[in-house]
Amino acid sequence: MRNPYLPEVVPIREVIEETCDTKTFRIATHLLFNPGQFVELSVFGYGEAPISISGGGDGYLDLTIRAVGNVTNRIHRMKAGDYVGIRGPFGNGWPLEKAKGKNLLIVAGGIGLAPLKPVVEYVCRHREEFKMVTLLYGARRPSLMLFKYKFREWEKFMDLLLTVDEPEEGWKGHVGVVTTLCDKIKHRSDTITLMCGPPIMMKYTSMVLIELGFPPSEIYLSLERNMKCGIGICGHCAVGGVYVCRDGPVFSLNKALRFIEKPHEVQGVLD
Amino acid sequence: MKLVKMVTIMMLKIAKNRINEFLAALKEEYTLYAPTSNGVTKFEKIEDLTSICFLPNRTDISLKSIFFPPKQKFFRWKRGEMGYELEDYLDGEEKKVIFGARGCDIRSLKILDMYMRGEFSDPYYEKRRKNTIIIGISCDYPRESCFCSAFGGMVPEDGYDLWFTDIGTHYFVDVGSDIGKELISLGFFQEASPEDLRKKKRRIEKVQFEIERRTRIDLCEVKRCSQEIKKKSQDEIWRELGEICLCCGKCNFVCPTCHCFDVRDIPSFDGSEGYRIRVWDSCHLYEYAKTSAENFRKEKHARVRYRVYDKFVFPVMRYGVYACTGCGRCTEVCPAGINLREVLRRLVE
Repeated sequence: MRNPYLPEVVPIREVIEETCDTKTFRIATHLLFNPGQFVELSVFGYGEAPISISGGGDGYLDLTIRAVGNVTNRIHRMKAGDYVGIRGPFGNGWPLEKAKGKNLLIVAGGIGLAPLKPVVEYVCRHREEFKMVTLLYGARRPSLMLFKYKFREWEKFMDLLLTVDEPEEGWKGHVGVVTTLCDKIKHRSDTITLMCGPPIMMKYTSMVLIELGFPPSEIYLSLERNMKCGIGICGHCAVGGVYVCRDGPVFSLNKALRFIEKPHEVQGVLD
Repeated sequence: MKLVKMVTIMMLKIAKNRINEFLAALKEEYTLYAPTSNGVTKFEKIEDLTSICFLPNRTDISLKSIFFPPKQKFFRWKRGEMGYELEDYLDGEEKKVIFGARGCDIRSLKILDMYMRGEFSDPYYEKRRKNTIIIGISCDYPRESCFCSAFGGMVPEDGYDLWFTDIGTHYFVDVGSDIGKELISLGFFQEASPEDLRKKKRRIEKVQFEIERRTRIDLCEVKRCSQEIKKKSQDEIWRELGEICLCCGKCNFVCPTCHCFDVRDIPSFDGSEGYRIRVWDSCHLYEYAKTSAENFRKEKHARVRYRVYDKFVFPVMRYGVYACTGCGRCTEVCPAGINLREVLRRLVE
């Protein structure tokens, strides 16, 4: 029997600086994953943290990490050649199959773009599988936007709608929260929405999208929880009778509404 | 009713003064765990048979720590040539006999199995759990906090190898498995008479009646009660309980079915090696549902409600069973005096 708690010890191949508090760590591993899945990252001596996979390729996996806790602050001080542990991948991932042949709306807030990046890259590689594609991305400030160096390429394949909460010098784009961009989406019907961001952003964006006529069964959210085991045993990610690590982290809004306390609150309390 | 069937196949008893001989014979081949007392009663590995405590009812501390210790090493990591070397600490494989388990203990193992040996199996639990022989025993009288009758009663339908019931000079013995039959062949048992069987039934009925009298809640209609509680998510009872609950997590730790844990690293002084461990965690603690973005159960009432739901609503939705055995340990240890039986009564009324 394979022990699900034993990590694979792997070296960091490359560290890419994204913003002042976020870096992408390219990990050398042959682990295969579906867009939207996550791994448990070990920094030995500091513990584990669940991190979503922000990309991957031949013999590597990208983890885009914001320094917020013990483990993530420590890995920020690590460099190429240092060793970490990973186990996984865990979770269900985005329902990309369902989106094929339809319009696709990708909504991301802040670090929430990381688990959606594999989807964006899939669209760039297989553009013909989808009808209209829109990426709506909001960040607090322009300097905190992730993957800016990819935007020019992504724009060739999809409508890229960007917004910031607070503008900085040189920012000529939209200012305001993500919801203020929703009426610029050119497609309404026949659309699968994939969303990830802070709870408050997902809550309000879902409300606006529903008002605009997007059916809740076709809006998918990736929920964040502090998963300790990844296999539905430790209890930390339990919400309303589901385990986010095992049954999620991606849920349709329809389903999420059933297990949260107040139907209008997307990521709720009762649990 | 399975019990009755078993009895017609084999009616046996064992003299009380032969119990120690029987346990000594088992100890030859197995590691023996039985109740001991050191101010607090709990199951411990028995080296000396005289340390066994023959209690009238359940222990203070549940069985779960034998299979799921409060602090458990996963593996040791050591810095090496190629990053880190890991050494797995899967342990506790010894063949065990648990003597003196109560109905609530046995039911709690079935519930833990459901969580830990399901689609994803927990190897550390699995290894300790397999090769376990369980000898259960009927209670003489219930504790003040007991309400197992709401969850199937004092005698479980299955999950034991042998079941003892005190009938005076002897224990009446029910056999619950093939391993139980093998134990019988060790030769410490004798045939029981119909009078012994009557004594056993009377004994069980008497205790059962006593528990039911105290409990007075009918949770037998499993689905209905679960739905009743589910409807009460906005009830004022949660605010009230949130006001008085200290959120100390004691109920989680004594609960035989609570199985939440945290994963941590314990490094050596220079950080070149260390252990990855798991420790029991509690859904009542503030940090429990905290993520980088938000704490999903910041308020005490939400955490109190979560625990009740995680015993009486969510497991019913997911597995079709309650994750409570009615052992009453949480009620007994609660420093704020929250009585789970009263909470349930209010919720289903």
